[in-house]
Amino acid sequence: MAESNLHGCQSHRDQLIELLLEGKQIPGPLADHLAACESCRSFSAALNGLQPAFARLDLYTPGLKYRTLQRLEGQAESMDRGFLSVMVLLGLLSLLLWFAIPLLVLTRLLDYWLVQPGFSLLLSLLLLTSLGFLISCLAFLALAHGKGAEQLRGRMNDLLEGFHG
Amino acid sequence: MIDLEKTPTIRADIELVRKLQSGDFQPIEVLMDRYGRDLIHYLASILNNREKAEDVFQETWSRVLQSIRRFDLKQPFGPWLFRIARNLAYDELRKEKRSRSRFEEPREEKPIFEPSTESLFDRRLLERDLARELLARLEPMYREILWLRFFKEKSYEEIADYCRLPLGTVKTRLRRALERAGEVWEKAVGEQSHGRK
Repeated sequence: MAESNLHGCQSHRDQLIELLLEGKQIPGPLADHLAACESCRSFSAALNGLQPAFARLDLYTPGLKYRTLQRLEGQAESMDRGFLSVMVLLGLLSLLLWFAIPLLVLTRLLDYWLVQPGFSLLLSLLLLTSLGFLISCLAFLALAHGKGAEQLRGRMNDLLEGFHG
Repeated sequence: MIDLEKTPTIRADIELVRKLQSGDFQPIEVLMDRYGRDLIHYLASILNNREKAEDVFQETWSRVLQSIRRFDLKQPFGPWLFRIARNLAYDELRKEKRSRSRFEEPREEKPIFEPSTESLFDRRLLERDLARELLARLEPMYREILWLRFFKEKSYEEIADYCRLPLGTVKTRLRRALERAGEVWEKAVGEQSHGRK
């Protein structure tokens, strides 16, 4: 019985799909058919029930939000660390550059440099390393106490305390 | 095309994103509250699995944080966010398919939309139960488009923007989704009536 109904009702079901796509009301003849045909009524109910089925979902929980914020907090910290690593790398590179430039210039200008190259290299290295270290320290302090980092840490702590509370 | 100037939510989003881009992470919570509910349900509509949807939800926000500096403020935030989520969700489905094809042991997972083990005719089904069964049996891309159209009541243009699909494809896919829903329903009915003979 159901099988013959399925074939006979196909045009009505196509019409139902069309109406649903266009957001139109069911016209009289189709409504009459639905009233008489249990199978098509059930088909119509299933399609029209899609929205309530989605509406029953409630997956956005405080737990999910908390876990996500926690993960983002960790990520923000690692992004800070990544940024610091890049800064340190850049510092080292600039240090090398600083070292290379006077080495090249002094090699050409000063005889002494040529006579005592080992001592001169050591002296340059010490001088420039101290300078580089000082600049790196200042950059680190600026990052650690920067406005953005402070705000982020403060906000994340507030959020976590709120959830614990 | 969405007119940014005419949409207050989009304008508010731009302000929040601008703060995020300048290193102030406070607005992420506001954006999460604004889009989180829809986002997790959207992911659930594609993945049909709560745990996976939650994993992808977290990964989506993580990607937002990573790439927020590259976000173009001339674009609305919502569709951008949903596109990230969508790409991750489909990556997850592909990963799942690959692992299935390698005969890996499947994880024990409970789907959100679960087909009933009871007969369609042997019990008095409510409308929502029928729809739930339909959703359980539909392919992810059809569940996704049905969710956007019939639950979020997005226009065809908005769906095209969310899914990065041409308008014609959106219309075709939506029609196909409903036809597919019809086929799934008919198959289920056919199975049941065959079983009763």
